[in-house]
Amino acid sequence: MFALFPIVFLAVFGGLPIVLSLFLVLGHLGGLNSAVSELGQGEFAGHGIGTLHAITNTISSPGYVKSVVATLIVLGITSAVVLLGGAMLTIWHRLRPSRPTAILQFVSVIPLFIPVVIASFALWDFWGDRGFADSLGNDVGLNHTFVFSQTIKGVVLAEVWVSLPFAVLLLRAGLGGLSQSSLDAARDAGAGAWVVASRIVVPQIRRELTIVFCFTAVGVLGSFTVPYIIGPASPLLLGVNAVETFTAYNEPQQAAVIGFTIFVLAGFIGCLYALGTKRRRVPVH
Amino acid sequence: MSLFTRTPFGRARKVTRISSPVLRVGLFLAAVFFIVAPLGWLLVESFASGFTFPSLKPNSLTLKWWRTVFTDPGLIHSVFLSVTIAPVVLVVSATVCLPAAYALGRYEFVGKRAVLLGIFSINAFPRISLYISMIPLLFLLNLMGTIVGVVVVQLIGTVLFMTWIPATGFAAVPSELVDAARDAGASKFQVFRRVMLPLARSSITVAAVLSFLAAFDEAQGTFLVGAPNYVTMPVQMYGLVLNYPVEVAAVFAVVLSIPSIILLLLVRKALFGSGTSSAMHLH
Repeated sequence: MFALFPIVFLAVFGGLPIVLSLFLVLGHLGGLNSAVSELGQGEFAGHGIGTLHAITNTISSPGYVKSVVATLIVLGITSAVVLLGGAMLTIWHRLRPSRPTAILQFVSVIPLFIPVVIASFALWDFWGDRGFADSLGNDVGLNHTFVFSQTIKGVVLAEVWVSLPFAVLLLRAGLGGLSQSSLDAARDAGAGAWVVASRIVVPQIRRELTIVFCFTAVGVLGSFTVPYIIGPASPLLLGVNAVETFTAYNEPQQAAVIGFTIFVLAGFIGCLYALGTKRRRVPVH
Repeated sequence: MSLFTRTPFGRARKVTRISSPVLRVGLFLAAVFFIVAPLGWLLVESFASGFTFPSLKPNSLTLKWWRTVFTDPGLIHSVFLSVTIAPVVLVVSATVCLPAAYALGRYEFVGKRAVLLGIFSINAFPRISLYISMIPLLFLLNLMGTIVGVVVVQLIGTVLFMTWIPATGFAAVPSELVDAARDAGASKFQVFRRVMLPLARSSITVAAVLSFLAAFDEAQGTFLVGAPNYVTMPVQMYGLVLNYPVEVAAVFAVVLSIPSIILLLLVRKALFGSGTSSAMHLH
């Protein structure tokens, strides 16, 4: 029975809101949704199953498509870089452990302990106009080359920064279970580090790699602070767009549509996750 | 002669040569620079009176930004809110989740996997969407702009840590020890307190630290639910970035990072140890 406490809490404050939000999207403005819909603007009421007007209205707005595209670009590049960077770092340490690789692993986990809002501010400042990187670039004649704040590139950079620790921790855990004998056997057969990594190690940690990719992607989808502080005023990433639509434009229904767009995209990533992790059975304690 | 040395795995030697010490040192420095330099720069800025672009040398050193932060009642209040709310969230989280973690770690029951996956899947939802969805319910329950609302929104981010990680810790306690304690006449509660808790301590510590940080650092949900009544330190940062000199925000950022860094150093071993690894393999 104790096990139900967290589930009940999450069902009330996680599951129920998601269902309510779906009703709001479909135009059911009464009932539990009335508290928010009474104050909202530009709402579309539906009867029976509901109406799709809120959805069509939102997705036909010019900012929406830009938001989706920008979010997908940031998501794709960030997940790829985090996957590659995390894998390189942890596999390198697994195959050739040394003090520098150990330091690097420790350093790469530091962002986990830095509040995201601090990280966003620090990176906005560091990579900003007349920031540290810009000053350094100016010294070598590369004026304004390293200014990434208020750009999509800056968002990618910051998302990589905040996502890397999880990737390193998870891949490290996965690599811990790798058999040393298979690595030694490959080395004895004359394989170099690159071949051992790509043909022996990577296939064995495919599940962890999938998890890293999917978690990073979902993290980017649901992020607000990083794109809010570092990102450009246009295009807005979906998370920022949802909050702005709610708080600045007072359009809860449209915000819910954007929120559901994020859910739907996360659903696709969930399918990817299921496909990438289904083949191996993992014991549950 | 070819650059490549034939091996059973093909042209392997070529790559080994490319990864020369110079490249490795370069990669090492670039990675350390990428991660650490922005944080180090904040520290420098917090003591600098200003900079004359493009010089990276401060015009002079000063403590005036630190004085600004520690004499601004609004900012002090944020510090107070953060250091009081996060421990409350931690205690509530432990009360709600640790008994569940114990049940999940020690007992087999119908629906156990569903419970584990349920907790996991709510956390896998994109966070900002979840918060947006929560707002109507919080309005209805009159929790918007209240301290209870803030605790609820911060609690969501801790449930996964507080359930999964201690569950692996409790599961790892050998049954023989429990049986021996029971044979010696220990009650169920004594077994829990004297055997379980000490042996699962490291996983509970890791969970507590991660939960505390999750609550302490939570900005997005607290901003939506608590503002303008409850502006914690991370939420205050949103305004600082826009309304204060960069140096003041830098001081505030340094202050806000201190608990995190201390906790990182305290749990470094446990975090890199088996506790986290096994928790990550639970699902």
